[in-house]
Amino acid sequence: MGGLLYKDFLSIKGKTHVAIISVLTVLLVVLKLIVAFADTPAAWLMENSEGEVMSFLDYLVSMPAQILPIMCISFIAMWIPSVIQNDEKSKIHTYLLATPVSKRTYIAEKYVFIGICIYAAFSVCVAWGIISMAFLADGAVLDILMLISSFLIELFSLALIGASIEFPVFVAFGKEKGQMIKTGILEILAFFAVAYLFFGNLDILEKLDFNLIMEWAKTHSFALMFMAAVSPLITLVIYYISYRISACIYERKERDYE
Amino acid sequence: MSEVKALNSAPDEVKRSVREYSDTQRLLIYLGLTFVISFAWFFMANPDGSTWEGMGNMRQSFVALGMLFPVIGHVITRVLTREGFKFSGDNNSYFGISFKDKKWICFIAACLIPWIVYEAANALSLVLAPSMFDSDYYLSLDIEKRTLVLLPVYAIVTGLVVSFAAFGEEGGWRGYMMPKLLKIMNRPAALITGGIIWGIWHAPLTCIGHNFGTDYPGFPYVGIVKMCVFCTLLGIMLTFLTEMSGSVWPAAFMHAIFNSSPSILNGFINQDLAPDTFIGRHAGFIGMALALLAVDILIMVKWKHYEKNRFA
Repeated sequence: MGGLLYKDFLSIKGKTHVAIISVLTVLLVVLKLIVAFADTPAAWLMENSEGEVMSFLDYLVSMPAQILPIMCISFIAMWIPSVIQNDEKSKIHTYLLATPVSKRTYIAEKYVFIGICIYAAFSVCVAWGIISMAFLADGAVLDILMLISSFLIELFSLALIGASIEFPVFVAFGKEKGQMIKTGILEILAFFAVAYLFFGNLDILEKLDFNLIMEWAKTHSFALMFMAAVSPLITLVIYYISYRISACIYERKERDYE
Repeated sequence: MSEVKALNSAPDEVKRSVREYSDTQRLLIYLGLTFVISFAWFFMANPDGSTWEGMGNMRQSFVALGMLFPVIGHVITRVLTREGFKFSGDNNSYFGISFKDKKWICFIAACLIPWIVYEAANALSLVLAPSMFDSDYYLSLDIEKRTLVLLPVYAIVTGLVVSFAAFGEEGGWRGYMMPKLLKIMNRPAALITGGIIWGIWHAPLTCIGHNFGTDYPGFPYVGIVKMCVFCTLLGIMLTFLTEMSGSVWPAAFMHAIFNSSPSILNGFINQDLAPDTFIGRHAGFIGMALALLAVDILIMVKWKHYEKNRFA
């Protein structure tokens, strides 16, 4: 299992990603400390629409933490087909026949690998959120960062559910066909979204208010706590069921191959 | 073999560059690095010397990122001393995970023991100072009554999910320091020394009021001593879990859950109502120490039994 994990880590250029994230984290901390404790020139102070005055640099330093969760989830979504494709290219199935690695272990490794990636990405997002929120004055930027932080568990739970759906498809149909099915489903969803924008009731979108969501979060602490406590458990159960399905598909597929 | 021959005939500069480090040297390098980097962080992140209560939640979390430096120290030490990153056997880095040979029990124990210990500790502190019981205290914490029941489960789940900070500490203390100390000295001495080192590492935080506040007689020295005692007692449990599972992850999970304070009784204990006596002031700490001591005694018996059977 360890060897397979390391193989996948290398195949997604894991060392480069770890190095980049480490350097960026150090850079973020250094910038944050400079911005927090150095005197801000008057020219760098800006006022937002709500009349809050903040340093332009402070705003800039808080930006990465706002976009990082989406970036991480996008990268992980790309790695799922990538780890399957690399194995298809290198014809690892024939090699594995000669090793004591069972078919179930092989599939389990893929799930464990993506699970580790999601855990690591979540941890980096939490750390960047903490760094960005420190020393930040009350205001819209802090509110947005806090909102992102409070929904981070749910966001990464969704990423894990996405992986639970994608894996059986890629294992059953291979990278090429799997990618086609995924793109097809995404295009249909996009088509319906655009159709809704043209012909649907847009009043709901107009009435969407961030402040209302914030207020809801403040007054529904029990619901939020319940969601935060239960969603990782439900997600893990779904992920496990997905593993069993993928293992079953893979065993049948390989039996035909043998 | 040819590499060994080449090394024997190599000039002195080359021989010096591939020098072997003893366990004591490695441990000292690790401790030096970890303490320098961590203390530098604690001072850099809080240059104006704000107290823990006064700095607010956001900055508290920022300062607490210093928890990551023990594992960073571990990684740097292994790179500097060319020790490698093995996941098993001698010089194990303890970063790997294995569920074989019933090791999964360690993970379950890591999740449940903090809850049991916390409830027992709170119950003991209420026995020592019954006046601390306040049936409406949870209202002052902005917690609904029905949320109280959910609190331990929430603490366990969030502790597991957000365990990277605790991994930062355990990856260093349990993953590097304790195995080296256990090689250098006997087990009781290693556990006490490890606990004291861990407690002293917390000193910059204790000095700004983390864990015990700033308003107590003997501040901050009494706090540092209390932290060393607490770290020794908790360290025994964490080291035992690490040794049994061959991984720092159960210890990291347990540490993270401990930090989340998984207890329903927390919502009914008001420290402000504690009597102004020695027992009253330290009731929370004594309760926790007694609960940890009870578990530690069981662990030491089990450990002795395990070692006896292992070499029988």
